[in-house]
Amino acid sequence: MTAPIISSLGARALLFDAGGAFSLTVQERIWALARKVDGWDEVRETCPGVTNLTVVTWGPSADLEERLLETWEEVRRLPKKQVAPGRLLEIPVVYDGVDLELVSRLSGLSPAEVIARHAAPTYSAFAIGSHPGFGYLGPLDPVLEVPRRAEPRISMPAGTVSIAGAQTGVSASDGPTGWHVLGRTSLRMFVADRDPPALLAAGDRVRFVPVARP
Amino acid sequence: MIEVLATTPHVTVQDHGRLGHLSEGVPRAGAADLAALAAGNIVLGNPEGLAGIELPRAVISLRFHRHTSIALTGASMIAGLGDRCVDSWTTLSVFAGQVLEIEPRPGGTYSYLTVAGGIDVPLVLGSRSTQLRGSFGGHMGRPLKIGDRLPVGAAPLRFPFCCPIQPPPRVGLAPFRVIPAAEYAYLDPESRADFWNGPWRVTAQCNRAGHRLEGPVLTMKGVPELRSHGIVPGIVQLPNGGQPVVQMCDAATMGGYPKIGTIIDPDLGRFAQISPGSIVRFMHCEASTSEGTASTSDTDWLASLAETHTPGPEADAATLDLLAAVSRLSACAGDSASEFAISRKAPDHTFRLRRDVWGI
Repeated sequence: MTAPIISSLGARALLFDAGGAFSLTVQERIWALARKVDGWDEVRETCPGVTNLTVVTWGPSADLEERLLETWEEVRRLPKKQVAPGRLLEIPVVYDGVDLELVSRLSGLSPAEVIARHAAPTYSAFAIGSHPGFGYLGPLDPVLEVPRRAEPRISMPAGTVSIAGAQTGVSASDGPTGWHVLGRTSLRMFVADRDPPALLAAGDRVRFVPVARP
Repeated sequence: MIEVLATTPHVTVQDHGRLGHLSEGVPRAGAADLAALAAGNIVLGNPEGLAGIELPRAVISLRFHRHTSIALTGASMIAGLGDRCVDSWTTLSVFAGQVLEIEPRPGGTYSYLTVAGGIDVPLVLGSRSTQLRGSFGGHMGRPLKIGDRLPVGAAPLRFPFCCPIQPPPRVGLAPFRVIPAAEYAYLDPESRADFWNGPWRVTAQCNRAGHRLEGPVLTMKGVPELRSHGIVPGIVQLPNGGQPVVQMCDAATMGGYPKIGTIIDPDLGRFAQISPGSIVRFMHCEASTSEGTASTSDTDWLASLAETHTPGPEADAATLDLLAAVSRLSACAGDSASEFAISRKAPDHTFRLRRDVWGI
């Protein structure tokens, strides 16, 4: 494994980057690292990214980098079964998105095949971000990989299921998106006064279940 | 209760921000200039972190439905109340029924109105700040509009007082301190020098989410593929065009652009206040020496406000009703320095009232 890199995000935050190629194994250990670091007194919060972890502290912390590296060595050595997988969430999707035709054309697959291939894998939520409750899910079937739209759509409703690059996701609130829209779900991915508000946490797994038009 | 009679867009309820939910994709939000909001709470005797109204160069008209005291802080403004007219950095007493009218003056971007007891909207995920993208927090998860009625928290009534608040000891356009971030190392040597030397002009694309800057085109070589990572307010990103974008309090929590540095927290409120068209510069700062940041000039200033401002003696509603009536009468007489003895009407309150002293 490559050596991790720690860099500054200001006086009270740093970015721990695992380094090296992306793999689900590395990603699982980032989530394990986050769970450990979250409990430290000087840590205000953490935010797992894709093969990296942002750590925000309450104030300056002299030995934080050292402890992070030590803890990373610990979680790296954990046997795979001790790196607890997240929950499995099934998301019902009506596949009637405005970009289904376009993705079908770009991939050379029939719309039905696009749907089948999007609904086949069990995805991992690599990270939560962009907007409250939005999960970056992957990896996508490489045949479905299409670049982002040149012009983002100004507003798509919460529940929009879309793809871009090697990722897919479900919008958690109304807003603009540069991703390609395949369908929609009635699940509410983020409700501020629900506990927890976000349906997805980093490390959770997701399956899309095609359902008929309501 | 405070009623919105008229307002420009983008006026929101904000407090010290929503911490602890980065991993759920929830940005900090909160006042763009945290210290200006904190000052408004301190001088009113409010507990730390109560919510106020953030006014981004706003024109607004508010009717107060009960006696209270308010503080105006942050960017310069013209605030009219009855026949009085004041600028930012003052406390003010407001009688029930009075209308406060505010419009911006040149200099600064974010003004704050705090009220004794705070704007008492519900706490959502530990904060009263408005989260615009998620449409939650603040007043119904959105900017204020005409007809809104904002609840005000319980606070003791006080005898009218009007006193200036010492503004923060900030030099508006002094260089902003930046700690280099991961991809700084990939900047070409000339571009590194250009980044520190600037000058950088703040473009019109400048809001609570981010400030886009314009200046020398910065170039990088050999930046590895960056994967999505959590980011915090103050991060200076460098998208493809080579012109930096500073992430602010409403920025998304996840980013993927190269980041060349982070404006340190103590300088971020001052940075939020700069107006489009202003010229700014950055100053290199090491993580180890930025603390400093633990006791910054803003922190010292807030501590001195806490020592020098006392919210004044408590009053009962009947006395304030009477003072309000006197104030109206004397305003009709057009005499701002007249002295009233109200001891005969209110035997329990044998103080003498001078409108210019009491500020009513």
